[in-house]
Amino acid sequence: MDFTPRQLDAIDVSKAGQDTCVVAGPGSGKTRVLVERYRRLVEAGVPPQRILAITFTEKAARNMKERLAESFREMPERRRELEQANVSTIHGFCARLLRENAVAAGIDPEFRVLDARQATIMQRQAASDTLDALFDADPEAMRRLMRGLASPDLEGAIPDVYDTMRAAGVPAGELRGFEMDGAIGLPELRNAMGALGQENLFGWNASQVERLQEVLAAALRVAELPDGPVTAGHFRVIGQFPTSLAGLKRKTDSYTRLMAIKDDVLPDVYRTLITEYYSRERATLIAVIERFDRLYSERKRRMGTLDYADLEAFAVGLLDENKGIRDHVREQFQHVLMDEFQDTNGQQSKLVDLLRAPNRFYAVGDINQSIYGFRHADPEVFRAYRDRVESDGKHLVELVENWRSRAGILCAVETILHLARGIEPRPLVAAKEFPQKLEAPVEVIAAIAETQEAALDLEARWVARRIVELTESLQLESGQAGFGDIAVLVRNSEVLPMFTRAFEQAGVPYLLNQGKGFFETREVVDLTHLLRAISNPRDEISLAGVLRSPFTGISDEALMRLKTAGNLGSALRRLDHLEMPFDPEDLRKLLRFREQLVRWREARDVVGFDRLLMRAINKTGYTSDPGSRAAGNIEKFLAMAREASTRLTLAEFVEEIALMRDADARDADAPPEDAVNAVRIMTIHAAKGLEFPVVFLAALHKGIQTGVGQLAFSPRVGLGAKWRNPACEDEKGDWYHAEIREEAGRREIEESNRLFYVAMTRAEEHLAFSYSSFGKRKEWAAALEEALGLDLSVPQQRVQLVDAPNGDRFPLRVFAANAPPAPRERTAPAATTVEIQIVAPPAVHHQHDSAASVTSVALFAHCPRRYYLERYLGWRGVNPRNLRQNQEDEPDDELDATGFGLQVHALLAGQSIDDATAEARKLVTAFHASELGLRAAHASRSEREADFLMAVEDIVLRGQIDLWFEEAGELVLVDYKTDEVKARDVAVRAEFYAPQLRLYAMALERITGRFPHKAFVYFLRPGVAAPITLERTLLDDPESLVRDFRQAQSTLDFPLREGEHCRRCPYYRGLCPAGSTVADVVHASAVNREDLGGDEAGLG
Amino acid sequence: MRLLTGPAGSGKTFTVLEGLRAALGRKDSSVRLLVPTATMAQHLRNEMARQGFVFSPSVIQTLSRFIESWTVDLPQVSEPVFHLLVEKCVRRLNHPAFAKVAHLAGFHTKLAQVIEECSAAGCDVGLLREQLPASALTRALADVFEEVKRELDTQKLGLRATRLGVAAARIAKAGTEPVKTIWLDGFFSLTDPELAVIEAMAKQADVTVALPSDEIAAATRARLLAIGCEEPRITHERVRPKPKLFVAPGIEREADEIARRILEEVAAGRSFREIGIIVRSPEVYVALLRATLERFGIPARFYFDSILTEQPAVRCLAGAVDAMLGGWDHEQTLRIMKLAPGVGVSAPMDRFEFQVRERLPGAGLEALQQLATEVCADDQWFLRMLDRMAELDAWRLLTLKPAEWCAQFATLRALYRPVRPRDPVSRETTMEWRSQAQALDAFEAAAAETARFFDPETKLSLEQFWPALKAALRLTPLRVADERRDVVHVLSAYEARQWELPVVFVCGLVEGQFPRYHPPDPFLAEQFRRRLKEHGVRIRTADDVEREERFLFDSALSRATASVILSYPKNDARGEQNLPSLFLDPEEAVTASRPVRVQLGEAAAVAPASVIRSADLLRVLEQTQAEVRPTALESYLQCPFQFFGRYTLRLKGAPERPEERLGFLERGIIVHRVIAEWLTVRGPIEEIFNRIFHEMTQAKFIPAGYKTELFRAGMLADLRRFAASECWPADYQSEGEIACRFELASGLGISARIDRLLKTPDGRGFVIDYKYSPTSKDKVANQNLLQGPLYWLAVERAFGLQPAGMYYCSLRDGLEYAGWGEQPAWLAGATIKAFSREWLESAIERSVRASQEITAGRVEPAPSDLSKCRLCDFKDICRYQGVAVAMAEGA
Ligand code: SF4
Repeated sequence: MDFTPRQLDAIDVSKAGQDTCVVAGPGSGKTRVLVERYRRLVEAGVPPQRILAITFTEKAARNMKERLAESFREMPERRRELEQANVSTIHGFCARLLRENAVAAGIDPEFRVLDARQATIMQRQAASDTLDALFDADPEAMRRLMRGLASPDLEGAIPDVYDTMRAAGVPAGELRGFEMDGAIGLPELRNAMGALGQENLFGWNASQVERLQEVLAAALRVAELPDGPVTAGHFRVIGQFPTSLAGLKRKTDSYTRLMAIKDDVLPDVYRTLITEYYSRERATLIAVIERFDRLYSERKRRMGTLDYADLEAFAVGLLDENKGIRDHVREQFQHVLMDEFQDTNGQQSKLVDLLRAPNRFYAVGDINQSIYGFRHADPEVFRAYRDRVESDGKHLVELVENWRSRAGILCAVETILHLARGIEPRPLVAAKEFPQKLEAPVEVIAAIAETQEAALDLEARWVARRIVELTESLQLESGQAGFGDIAVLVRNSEVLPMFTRAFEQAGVPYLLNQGKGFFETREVVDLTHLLRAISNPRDEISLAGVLRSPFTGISDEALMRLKTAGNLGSALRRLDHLEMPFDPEDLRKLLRFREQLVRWREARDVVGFDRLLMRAINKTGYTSDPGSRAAGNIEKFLAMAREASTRLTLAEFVEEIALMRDADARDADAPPEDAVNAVRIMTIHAAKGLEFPVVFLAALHKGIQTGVGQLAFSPRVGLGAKWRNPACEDEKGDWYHAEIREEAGRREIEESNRLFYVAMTRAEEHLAFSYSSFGKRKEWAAALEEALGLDLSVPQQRVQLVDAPNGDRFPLRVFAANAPPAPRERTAPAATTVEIQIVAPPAVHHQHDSAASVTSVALFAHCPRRYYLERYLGWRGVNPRNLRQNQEDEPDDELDATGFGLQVHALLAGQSIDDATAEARKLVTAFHASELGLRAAHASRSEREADFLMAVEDIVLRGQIDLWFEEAGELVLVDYKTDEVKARDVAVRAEFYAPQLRLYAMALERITGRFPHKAFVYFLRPGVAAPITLERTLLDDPESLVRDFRQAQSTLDFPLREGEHCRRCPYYRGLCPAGSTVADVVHASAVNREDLGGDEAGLG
Repeated sequence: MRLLTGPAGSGKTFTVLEGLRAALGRKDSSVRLLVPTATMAQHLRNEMARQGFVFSPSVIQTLSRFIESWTVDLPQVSEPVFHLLVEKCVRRLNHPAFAKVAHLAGFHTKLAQVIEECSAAGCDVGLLREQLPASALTRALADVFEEVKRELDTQKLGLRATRLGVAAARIAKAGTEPVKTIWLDGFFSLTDPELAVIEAMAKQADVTVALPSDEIAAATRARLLAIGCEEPRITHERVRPKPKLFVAPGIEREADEIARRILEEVAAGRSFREIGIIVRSPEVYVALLRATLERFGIPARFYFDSILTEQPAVRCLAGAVDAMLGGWDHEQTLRIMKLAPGVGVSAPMDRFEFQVRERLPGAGLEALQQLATEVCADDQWFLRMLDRMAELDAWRLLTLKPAEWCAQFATLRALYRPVRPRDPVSRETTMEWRSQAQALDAFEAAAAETARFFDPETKLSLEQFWPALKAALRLTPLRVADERRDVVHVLSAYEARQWELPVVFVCGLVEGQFPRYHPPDPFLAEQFRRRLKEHGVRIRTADDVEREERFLFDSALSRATASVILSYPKNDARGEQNLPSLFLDPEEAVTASRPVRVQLGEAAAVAPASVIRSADLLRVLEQTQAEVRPTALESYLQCPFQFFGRYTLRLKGAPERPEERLGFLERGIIVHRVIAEWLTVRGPIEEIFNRIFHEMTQAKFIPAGYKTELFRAGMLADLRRFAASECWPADYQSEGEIACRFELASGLGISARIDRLLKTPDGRGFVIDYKYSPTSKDKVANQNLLQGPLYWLAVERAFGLQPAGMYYCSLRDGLEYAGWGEQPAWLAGATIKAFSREWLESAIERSVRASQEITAGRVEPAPSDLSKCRLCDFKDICRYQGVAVAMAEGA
């Protein structure tokens, strides 16, 4: 598709030298324009590092990079340069800027960005801690605050205003600075009353005159209120002013003035006075927020984390305070491109202003699509920029062609929102050619009933029916419409349950993307409770949840039986001691689950929580179809668990989940995969940026409650709150609050219209409106009926032509019913279910270590179990003399390899050691003097400390031969030992070392090509050389030893070899069961142990 | 000296190994093969040994190990010690430019890194000063750099680069004897100090360096040629398998697909050890692959370090010390105890945990020991663990020499004593045990390192030693030994360079992961690096980094001899769409991953129909009906399962958090007790309230604080209002909190506790049920409620009075009466319905039916009002369709 003249104008790089503003209507191909602009800049020789492109979402950023990469497909060099291109969201950009200038910004260069969930929890925690601290410090002030505030439960309110402040870029420190300007007080009231009372009462009857006197008196009492400190008395007096002026003569000067006083002046006066009355409490409130700010920031700092708002705040601070850095950044970016500029907030626009040099800014946006006010987006930013560009005669382009929707649809949009507040009148020019079609592209469906519930139920059913009809009749550009082409968008997700139910009944396959309630979804709840049960099975709710879930699936009878034995968890432990007539199937399930639970608990903190869960899922067959939303949620939860394992223990993680669930259950559920042929159901906000061939805009009668919270903030006004009237029960906002409410009111109407606009413009070929009609019509439904001149309070069906304000006409299908659709045999859900491959786990063998030290093998020969504990697992025994590292390459048994042994060996190896002990030297000299020593000295060939690698079977053995020498044609192998051993025990002890020496012999044979004739263990302390027989016996040859060694490892079977030596073994009666009678070690069984009596009453 | 260059996979390593084989064949021990990493060395050693050679391990080693013998007097400074040194120097210099960040761990890490990088690139302080603009930052950097060097010298420690320098000089002088032949393989770029060593070696021995011909090695190659290397070209060019590419919806599914394909390969006769997975972003993939491969039963070996401080063993030990220093905060202490093997999951621990959590917040070990003796006196092990922790308290007062501190910390092990292994045991479990054993050893090693940082003779307090040790722990990696061979090898792109495997997977090919995103350096910004580069300093610029990523990618692709499979996830973990790696050939055909599931242990268990049938259980249910409270029946009418959970099973969840303990229920109880007492004694209601409120906070361990005060003030105001508004005629006889029981139908006894009964002189009776809720109107409308009519009956049947009125009276934020019967003057304005027989009968009928259904064993979830599910304790476990969606909406 070529570019239109307007698009060409927008991407014209010859105009790159000036600020540019592109107003891009829906479907006007703005991303394409943005990408093309970028591409042309690069082609014009601007290196990507010098272009900064900022998008609103990460998705958009990636999308843009992808398209760029695509467009440079032919130019690998350019494509490579994209590596370093700066295309990101504002947050992405800030993060990079801050890492690069961490020192100047005063933050941890390795900061982690808090995800929204964690931030919410931390904020709530900080809020409640702040309140407690302040209450502790000054209870009286806080009590006054409590008494004053209309709703003093501040824990949730503080973080909310705080967010608003930060989005606007107003630091807590500035809160005190906001003044009431233009506030109306008693003086103004007095003026207003000025001429009152002078009216000539001609034509007033007696009672009217009397009434007038009353009212005037009341007004006078107010006017006479003393200036200076405001007291409760003031409000009593104001409270006495009549709420109605009934009884006065209308259409008189006095009447109008009093009316004005009552409705306009007095309320203002009240606000002013209440603000003054509570000024002290207001100060306290601000102090709370300031302290909260300090505490929350400090905690983040200690954790080395920043939240999203910090990224912006610190970046603004950095550029604002460091001219050097600011200049560098401006200098670096020759061009700044910004998408969705209408969605930026105050803070972000500050940032943009700081980083863009004059005439380098290229902003794309559309006020009519600004729908993120609730996230503090401020469309004024865009408006102001556009107007400036226009007035300065810079480069302004309007893209009005729409390449998405049928003309009829666009026509309807223009008709419905003609002159609507917040919508800038701009034509939507249908640019795309569609084949002719029979159905009207736009339709309205109304369901009529007494109550809202009944009507909504009816509406949902008719929508479901209509969807089925369309899938049978509607021809789309792509062919016959399918479920996958259809999206149902709602504004208020409260209605979703109705629709899902109706769709199930009508057999309409759907994918619900609630965009929240992640922690409430079945699968997440199940996994959460499993973790809780693993953490502590005494939590009966969680355990019962798991037992009833597919993880176990026992009957409620079994549950009841179990409970009769006391706490469920403890009963489960004692299962085999309970004589209870469990149903055999239940019992099997319970036993199996108990077995699993024990294992999961043993592993609970050792393996990642995700692995724990995957094991559970595997073992129990808790499944979900890949691609389904459930699977998506499980995967999302597993990812969360995986991340959490790096920060938390399981106990902490389950706590965190609980907090997240309470603090903000709005966490988005996993979006479903696209492949599936099902109707998408989602909120309009979730649909921003998407488009669908067929769109149903449902429940138009249902708005969302907006309005201003008890605490509120606006960058223009400051901090406002609702306070108790000290004279009576009622509650009203102070001056600030009132101002904010007014402001918000205006914004909400405008934004509501824009949301409607965005919603309608998602549709490509067919747009259907639906709503419930029950007595008075509300919200968008009303706007719709008015704009299209419909009255659907009675059943009807027709197609009519509607005149659009621009003179065009479009066909509209109108349908209203007060009865449910006639039943129709249900079409089975046609969602194409993906077929799943089931694979069997492979057969696994040979899982032995492929390398080992000779001493390990020797130790194995001595006692497999000891080898297992000491070497294979690497656990220390309890014998204090044995607390040492496993120096695998050192000669080694439980008495050797102390520092002393090492010293002696070193000396014997001929190294010089300055701090060698006399004892050691003595032993060494003794050896040199010994017969063996002398022979070695005269050897024709000899080597000390000869370390080697050699493969036996497929195992690579490493070892070190203390000494070998060749003398008188005899090859001799020697291994020194510093054991404390009596001469008489030498023979026995030598046997223990035999396997080691046989392996050395083998190595020596391979090294020298000759098998040693003799081998000795030389015990240095008694000075005895014990000969070792090297002849292989059937039972005992190195290869078979190594084979056993390997076998034991592969099967993980390490038998005990009990005997005398056990007493010298550090594992005796400890980790090794040998000789163990005392429960001196925590046995695995302890995990099950439970005072058999149980511990609580069972069923009451 | 020779230089072997060729593209990745061109057989450079092959040529080198040929030479080595020949030498070993001759039993020539004067040869050395030097490689960059220890893992590579070990890998090659084992390969050689398996080919039947017997040789000394030192024949194949790392360059650093090789120069040891020339630098015994200048040991390499360990990472932890270096880090601590940097920190120390920053403190000492106390540079204003660093003032804001001087205390941040991440700052020290980065600073240490940049200093090390500079010295490796042969860029000394002088050069920095002269090349970089004299900004405060660079001045501070240079000063710290200088200071650190000084420190190292005084401590006689050396950075790698320094030691290489020394070694080079000494080798040049003393020669390499007995080594005559040296090969260097696996390097792709050599730093100047490394080159210096090579140059020195070349003077004495026959040196061969293998380098890739990629751009990345260009600079190194140039230098080598400059020092007179000759360069025989390697012609042999292995045909590379053509890469296949697949995309999966998310990383989980990507891992699944890799597992699936591995199983296919294995089924086709490959052994696991012929398969490798190359990972560029371990933080994203390692944990995931561990989990996935385990799930599919695929044995795998991971060549990655894990983070020591994440190991439970270390968390337990370090946590204990922190907890002690923090005065044994109970929550923190519990966490540590739960980590202990055996004890941590024992029944006593479970019981103890909940007991403690009911009392949180709290601090001090004595309190816990006290509680422990009450709760689990029978468990010696449990008590002993607490005693062991108690011993730590003495540490505060100790001042010890560094070495003595090591010994002290070695005793901490006692807190993490393994459980006697159960037989048989799974491979995973042994691996888990192994990793913890090694974590404990690493903990002690870190302590030893820390000790090295301090002067051996100076005595230190715990406050001085512990922070240093903690820093050391953070910087000590843990590589769990695993020498299995027939496993799938999961390698980093770096390690993989020396490997050749038939089948290789390269996963995570998305921008930011492969190529990796490299955060900019806070000290040497890109422009400075460029400038240094221009002055011949070989410091890494963005281009180098990019080149390196590309090289790693090409090398990864060339590791496979039979097939190489590339993959990337469409979306990341947050469901955001990924940008496929720009390294991927745009022309590449992409296949999609296939949904796969491992054959499950057994099919998911389906819970049987939710109903009680067995006679014995039905009997139990029947007994409960002998005396049933109206509220119980109401709960049943809302939902049978709710009744089952609340009244039959009486399920109890985990203890509530402190801030939740003063919940609806508790406040209701307080208010009711106060009213009951006030009705009998009258007098100032404040006093009664204060006493009862105090009792409750004591009993329920409700912490003082803003929220508590808020509730307190609220309740008090409500009660004052109530007392002030007392409107019932004085001659009515009024009683509070009276229990009563009456027969509703045969076998169905209703027992109730009536909040207030008023008898008129003429024998009529009014009942009032106080509710601590904001309104009571709705109750009159609600069809599921029975209290009204049943209390009405109570007046008649239990008290023999003529019922005249039954009223709810809601007290919160204002008094509101609503109910049935007469409308006395003083209740004008209240919503009061006239009494009607039907009302009473329908209630009786519903009660009887409910009771019959209960005794018949009906327990399935069937809410009469879905919106009430939100407040139900059993919403998570009833599995009632639609609760989830409704809950989400409530969210
Ligand atoms: S949540 Fe609803 S359905 Fe589930 S048990 Fe409670 S009341 Fe019944």
